[in-house]
Amino acid sequence: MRRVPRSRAVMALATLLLTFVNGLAGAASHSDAPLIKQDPQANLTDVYAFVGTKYNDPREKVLNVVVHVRPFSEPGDGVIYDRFADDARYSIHIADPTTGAEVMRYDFSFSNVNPTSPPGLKNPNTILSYGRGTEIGPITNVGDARQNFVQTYSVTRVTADGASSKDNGGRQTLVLGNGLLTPPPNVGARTTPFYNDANGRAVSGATSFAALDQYTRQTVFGLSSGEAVFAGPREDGFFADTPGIFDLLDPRILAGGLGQNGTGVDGFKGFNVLAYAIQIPLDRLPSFEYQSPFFGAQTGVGVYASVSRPSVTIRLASREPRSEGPFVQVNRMGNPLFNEVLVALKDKDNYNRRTPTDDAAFATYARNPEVAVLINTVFGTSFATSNREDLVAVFIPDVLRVNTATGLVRLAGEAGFSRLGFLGGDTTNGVSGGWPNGRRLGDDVVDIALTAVASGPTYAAITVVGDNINANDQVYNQVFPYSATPHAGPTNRKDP
Amino acid sequence: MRRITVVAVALALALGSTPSARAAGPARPATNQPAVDQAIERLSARTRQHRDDPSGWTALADAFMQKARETADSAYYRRAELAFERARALDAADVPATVGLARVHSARHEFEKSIEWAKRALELDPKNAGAYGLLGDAALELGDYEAATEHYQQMLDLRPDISSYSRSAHLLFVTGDARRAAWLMDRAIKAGAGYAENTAWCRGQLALMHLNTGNLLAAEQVVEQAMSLTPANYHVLFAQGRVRAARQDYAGAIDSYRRASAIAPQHEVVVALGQLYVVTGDRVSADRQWAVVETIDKLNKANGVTGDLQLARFLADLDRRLPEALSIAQAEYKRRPNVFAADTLAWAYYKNGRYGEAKRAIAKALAQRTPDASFLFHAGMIHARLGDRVSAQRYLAQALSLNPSFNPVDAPLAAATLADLGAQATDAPDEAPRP
Repeated sequence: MRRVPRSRAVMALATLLLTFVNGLAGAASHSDAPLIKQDPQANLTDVYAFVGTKYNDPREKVLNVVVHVRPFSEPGDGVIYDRFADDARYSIHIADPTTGAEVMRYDFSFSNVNPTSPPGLKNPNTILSYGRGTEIGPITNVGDARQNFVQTYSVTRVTADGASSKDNGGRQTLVLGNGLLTPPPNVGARTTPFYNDANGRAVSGATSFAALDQYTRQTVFGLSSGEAVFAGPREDGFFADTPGIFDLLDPRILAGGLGQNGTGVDGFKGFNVLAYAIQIPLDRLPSFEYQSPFFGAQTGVGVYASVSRPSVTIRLASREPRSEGPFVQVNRMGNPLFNEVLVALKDKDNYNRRTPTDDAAFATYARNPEVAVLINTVFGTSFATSNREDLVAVFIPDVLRVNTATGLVRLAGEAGFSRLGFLGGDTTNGVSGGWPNGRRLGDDVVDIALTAVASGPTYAAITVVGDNINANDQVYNQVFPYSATPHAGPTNRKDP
Repeated sequence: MRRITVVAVALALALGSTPSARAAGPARPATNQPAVDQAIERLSARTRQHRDDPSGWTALADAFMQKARETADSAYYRRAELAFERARALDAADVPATVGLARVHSARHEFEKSIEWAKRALELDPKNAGAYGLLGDAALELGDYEAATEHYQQMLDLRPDISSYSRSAHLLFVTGDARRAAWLMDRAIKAGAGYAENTAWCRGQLALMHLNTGNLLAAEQVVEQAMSLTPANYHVLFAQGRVRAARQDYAGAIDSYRRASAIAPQHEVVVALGQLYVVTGDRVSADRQWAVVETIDKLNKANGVTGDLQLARFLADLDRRLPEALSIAQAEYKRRPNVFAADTLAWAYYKNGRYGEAKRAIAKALAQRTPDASFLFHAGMIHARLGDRVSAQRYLAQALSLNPSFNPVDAPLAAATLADLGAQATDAPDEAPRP
């Protein structure tokens, strides 16, 4: 070791100081707790709800509800991969489609994210969560000796019944399943081979339960109460050209007629999400009469999702060690784009805290859509900017209204499916196959919403407009849990 | 053709104005560029194209605030402030920008101004969790722990997340509830955040909580896990250095501190590094670190920043310019009478030979039962000087049993003093010392 000459050391010091002159001034002793605006593990991205068949019985009709959370999960994360927050409660609500009042709820609660010892971790002495447990090699069965970490979950049903138990505000709480397994992430061909083809790319588009990959198949659970559930990593099924939209000068947004030629770039391409999903037999569901602005009198239910976290009591007076408070809702979603596009900034958090029964407070955002105002102000068009009762009927209260009497709707990949639903001629018994009647994977909600904004409230002439992205980057499965197989870490479509 | 542009613009404006929405873009970098730099780049472009959109300016300002967090470069506070002001110029009722200005002032220790802006934000939006958080931060700094508890409780009830959990955890720790504090900081980590730095900060804090209460093994585990997730984070590297120093792995600790100070040369890490050089007998390197600290101070003064607590503590520890150390500590305690200021004030009195005032000040520092062995060490040394052998022994023993390796320089001194006091007990009768 040679000693650094003194003059060089001094120079290095001087350089260091010059570099950080600004940094040091005033930053002296402060290291605040973060004040976040993003909360990915609690960030609901999409709620899908549509009528289909039980995963293992094509004769039994069910309501599928698939919820995506945790946007932009990196398939090649490499260290821990995204997991469900173990402190949060992930809920699916069944509600009155007219009032938004919850009549039934399913709560998903997940096990410890970072166990440091068995049984949470089979082998604490490795950096690998997958591919090495008590054995080394590819994962063959979910939870086998090569899958070091498996996150499990429980599902609870809460109904407004209250006949037997009053412990939840006059509601009946029933644990439907416990210790349910989630599948591993798609680490890659060598660790999770059954997700992938010979080239190491994720295989999706299964048309039957038997054709699903083994990990997914092993983690679809039929519960004795009649429901079926799934929770785990999936591909992000949303598609929109957000990069092109943000970079307004990109001509690809302008290309083709009315933004329908598919030359945009899907900003969600190559990313995964976490999904939790349920199949509820139709005969287990309540049924409500409601009005649709497009299809008249309907029979069905309202659906929305939420994520809650426990509050905590910290008051000095209470020195109790146990201090978890009631659950506080931190995120909510029903219809696509409502809170993201229509609700003004100052009310977005407010929206997330409240329930659909309060949504009249937000009706003004649907009735007088700022989007239309902006368009007209900037470009001199004359889209209707007020009295949009058509939009109010879709968004207020903000629950997905699903007609449960239509029979099966067409799935993406099946003949007759249109990403535009009824605008594309895809109806079932006179009702749109997709959003705003429920929502299917593959429904092009950006184009449908923009078309509605541009064409309503009279819909005398339908002008279809969009963002030049018409399909997802991965084919969906046509069987529960429907969301596409998660992209592989090393070979996803984002990093070819 | 025209209509599509129109729609695209509208969608951009609409999607762009959602802070928590997916349109904000990937939370994780697809490249090696830090997520915050990607955000700054993208949002700068957006504000160039939409100069009249307040939400764009607010989002950019938020990214600058995050950048300041990650680099300790306070120049970004000014850039954030300008962008927040820009948003408010466009819409004076813009809540996020109003909260943002409260954040900027808090970061600069301008707590009265921070309170003013936070209150203004609450007038616009009485349920703004962030504004309550900033009111709590200010109350904590000002030593009003009851008010801080009230504000943080309101924040927790509005939005339980990493921000409210981690703040409350820190408060619980400072007010003497280490067990619930660690439990709640763990919650904060689990709740997660968009920027990896945010959870890394929490892990660093949790490790220090464990370390400060002598739970070295738990601290090590937290650091190890944090290193595997965010290996190049200032807070994690600093905590790793502390853990290694506690293990007497001084070479390893020096390496951690050097890497941390290369990322963000904060006072605390420069001092910690200097102390390790002292302990390992490398006076030349130690003096070089002290020179850095002194230069930091000169630069601060040149930039109009008034003296701060850490500097007072540094001067007192090294017996340098003791009158100045005391005057800084007095001014700081007057400005923000929290337990840390009280401790530094006590130590500055002690070093200046004013033991009676030191005793009164250290009592205030200990009032919240903050689990910090340094407080107890200072209390022990002060009481020893005052001839209160029983109290001195008790405080020093408490310091060492709370955290036997709380500081590489002070812990051995505490042990030696305790041994001396024990020897005195048999050698000589207890008597008041002469000054």
